[in-house]
Amino acid sequence: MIFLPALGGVAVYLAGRLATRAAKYLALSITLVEAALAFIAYYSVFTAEGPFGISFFVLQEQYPWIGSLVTYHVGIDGLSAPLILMTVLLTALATGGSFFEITDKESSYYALMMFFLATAVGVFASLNLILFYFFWEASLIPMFFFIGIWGGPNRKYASVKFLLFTYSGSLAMLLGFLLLYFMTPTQSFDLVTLLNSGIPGWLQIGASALTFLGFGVKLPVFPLHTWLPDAHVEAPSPISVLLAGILLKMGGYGFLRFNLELFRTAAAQYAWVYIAVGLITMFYGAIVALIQKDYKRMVALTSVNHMGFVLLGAFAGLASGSVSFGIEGAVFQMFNHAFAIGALFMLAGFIKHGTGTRDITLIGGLRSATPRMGVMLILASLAGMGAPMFSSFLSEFMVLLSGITFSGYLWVAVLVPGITAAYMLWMLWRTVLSERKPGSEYHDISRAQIVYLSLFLVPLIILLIAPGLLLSPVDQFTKAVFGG
Amino acid sequence: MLITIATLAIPGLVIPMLSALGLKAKRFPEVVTVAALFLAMIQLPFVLLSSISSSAQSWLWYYPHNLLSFDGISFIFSVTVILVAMMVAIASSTMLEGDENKPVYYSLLLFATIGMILVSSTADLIFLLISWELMTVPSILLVSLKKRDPKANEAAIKFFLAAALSSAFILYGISLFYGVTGSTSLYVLQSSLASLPPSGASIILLSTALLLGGFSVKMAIVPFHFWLPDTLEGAHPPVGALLAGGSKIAGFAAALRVAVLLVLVSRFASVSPSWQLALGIMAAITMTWGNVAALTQKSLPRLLAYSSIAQAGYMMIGLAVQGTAGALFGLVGLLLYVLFYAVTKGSAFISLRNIGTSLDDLAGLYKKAPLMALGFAISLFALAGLPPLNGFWSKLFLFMGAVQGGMAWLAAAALINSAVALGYYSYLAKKMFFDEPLTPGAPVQHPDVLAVVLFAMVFIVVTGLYPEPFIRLITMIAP
Repeated sequence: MIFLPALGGVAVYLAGRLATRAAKYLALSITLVEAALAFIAYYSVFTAEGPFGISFFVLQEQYPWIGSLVTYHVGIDGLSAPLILMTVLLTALATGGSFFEITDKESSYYALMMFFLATAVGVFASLNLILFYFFWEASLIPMFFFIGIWGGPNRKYASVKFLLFTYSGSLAMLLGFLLLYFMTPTQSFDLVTLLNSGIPGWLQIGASALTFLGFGVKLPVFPLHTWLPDAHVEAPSPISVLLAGILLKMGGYGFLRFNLELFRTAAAQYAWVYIAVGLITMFYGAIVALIQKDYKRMVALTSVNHMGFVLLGAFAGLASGSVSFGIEGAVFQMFNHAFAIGALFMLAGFIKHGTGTRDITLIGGLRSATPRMGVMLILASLAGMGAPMFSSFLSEFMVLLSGITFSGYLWVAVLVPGITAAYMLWMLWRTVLSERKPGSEYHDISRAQIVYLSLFLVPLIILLIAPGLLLSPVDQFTKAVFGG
Repeated sequence: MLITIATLAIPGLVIPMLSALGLKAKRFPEVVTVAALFLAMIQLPFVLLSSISSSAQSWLWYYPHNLLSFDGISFIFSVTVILVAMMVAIASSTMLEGDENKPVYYSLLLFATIGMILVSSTADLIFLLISWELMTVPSILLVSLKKRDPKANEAAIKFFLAAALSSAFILYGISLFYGVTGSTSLYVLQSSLASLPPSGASIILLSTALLLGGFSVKMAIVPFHFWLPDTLEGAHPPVGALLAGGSKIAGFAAALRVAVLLVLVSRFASVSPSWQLALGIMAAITMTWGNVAALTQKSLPRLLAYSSIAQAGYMMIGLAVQGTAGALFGLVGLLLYVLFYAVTKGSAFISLRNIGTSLDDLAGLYKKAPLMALGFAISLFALAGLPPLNGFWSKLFLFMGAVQGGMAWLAAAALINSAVALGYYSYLAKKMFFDEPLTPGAPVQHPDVLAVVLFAMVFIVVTGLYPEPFIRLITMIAP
């Protein structure tokens, strides 16, 4: 599953040299095959039978790579399977969406897309710390070129900033991994071995502080987030979708897998730190988004705001014992956010094409001028703000519930969805529901684009009706690991 | 071993002679040189096997056992310098088109290579000095090859002075060794170290410091690094590759085998204040200095030179952890680093022939010469240590050695430095891929350079994805 897109990437590039169209369709078909594989993998987790214990991974594969020191050890469980499914589906959608957006150097673009998919799946599936780091860093290189080559006017600054921020964070993470290797009696980089062996409390605290930096930059948490608005705004829309939908989830996955699962003792002891950081991130993202004029920047900050939920839910859930709400809510939130934000980011590209600007204050009257775009914008915004017709409502609700279980004072977190709804509605009011600006000439989106945008929203509606489709593997995972 | 040396030395003598006698075949010097290097390379495994299996009495009566000892470490270093010399030889082919000095250039290249191989397999201090000079003198001549260019002359003079300083240090160190032990042979030194009185031990420590100082000039360890940027800026890019990827490596070979393993580890494993700490501090200063200075450079060879100084700092970690618990990881990391770094850096320098020497030449290179841009970027990212390229593995092993050897602070310093280094590497990549070209038209693309860069590209990616054979080889043959 990891090698298919990696080899496919080479094939896409070569096909692109022959004919540009070939690259596009080959890339899309690879992602679709990959999606089928992801469904099969997900199904095997979904139907896996117990006894579930700590470190219950299905579809494990292990080959020696660097002797026995670093093995190619992959496998999935109830935590990583939904995220892999999300990664593959979202990449397929982004590849399709690139048909509308990318007209330059297509063969390189689609080839890099395949490499990115390989590294992203690799991150979620690896069960060896060095293998994890390997994929984690390797995913930066395609992203760097995506932003730098196909990005907006300030792309050069944004791409370098992105690379340096995330790389610095991951180096701290690597140091944490090395400490973990040498300070534990097992002397192993293998995640399964580490999960089954007790890690002394002081080491958990030290290592989780270091990995916090690595995952915190990716997620991002409040003081480490400054690369994000630049990178998201400058990237072309399909790449913003990947950034917000997949790259940030790597940070979330890292938090859940390492800081929560592996360093359980430290996490329980210092849960309030994570909760506080999560809360600050939520409020920061929401309040700053309130004053943005650039639609895409607003959406980018919505990501910051939503990722705060992940931290809050996971760690409040652990500390209060309400794991089934908190941790499952966090995973659910990551999944939902990926699709909601994907639609919003793709709309950013369409709005820019249709109206010539992304400035909220300059756009007006989409209701009458471009009704299709207006409707889709309203629907996507509702998904983004967590309205009860989409499953993002459920996940936010679960997270808030676990927060309040942890401490009654955390009711303040309820303000965040409120603020989010406020700025989203205000944006809609100004762009869609207002009067047309004089002299403006807008183009509406095509039918194909409507169908395309709806594809983002379909999973959210399905999961509102049947959340168990996603939550039951996660539930097995949390019950097995945290005994909730 | 002697046959290997002869394989390189005889062509080295014959090439200029034949061309003086009137052999004017166009590609004859480089073809002979590359063939000789290749032949020498395939002999090395047999040399290693015979030197491992033979006891002190060699099966060849003329085998100079008291002067040479070819072990696993020598093997890795020799393979590395021959590989770099081959890359340089191939990539210089079109550079000297029609130059009357072409045969001499290749002859000097061969002799410098012999010097490097001998430096990394010496067993006698005087012989070490002679090999050191055999490596240095041809390199100085190679740097000054552009006779009429004042910059090249400055480069050569600076290099000459630094080399003289280095030889002086080494010679002084040797004289102290001789005074204490009464012999220059490393075998004698090794056996007499254990029974030294404390007063003799302190002199040995001083002379080891002098030796290390001398080697540090070639390794470009701060504060002995000052000549490198100027010299590399003035020299032809392939000569720069030879200096940064070849003679620097030989300096490390000497420092590792003679100073660190033979003297410090065996006699001064635990001495206070510890020499490991001193080397560690030098490593941290060197990498920081190199990286910070590289951030502000405007000329590509200078920038690469400073980055090579920083890389020397990382390699110093491998020296600093010897004698601690992290010795094995450190040694494997260092040897892996040597091999990977030499090819990568060599390729980066050689690329300059097809790119130009100013940062502005990089602008929009991807549009002008995509293959060169890709090759250069891959070598830069490999130097930065980004997976999936090979630089990541060598750095990982060094850092593991530092953490295991109780020097987590050194690993942390190196990690911070890696982030700084990525600052200028990514800036270069940005210029190549994202900026618009400043001047229309691509620079001349020499096919020989392209071939070398292509080879390095494949090497970097393949060893990045699967470095296991090299790691296994090193752990098998390293003592």
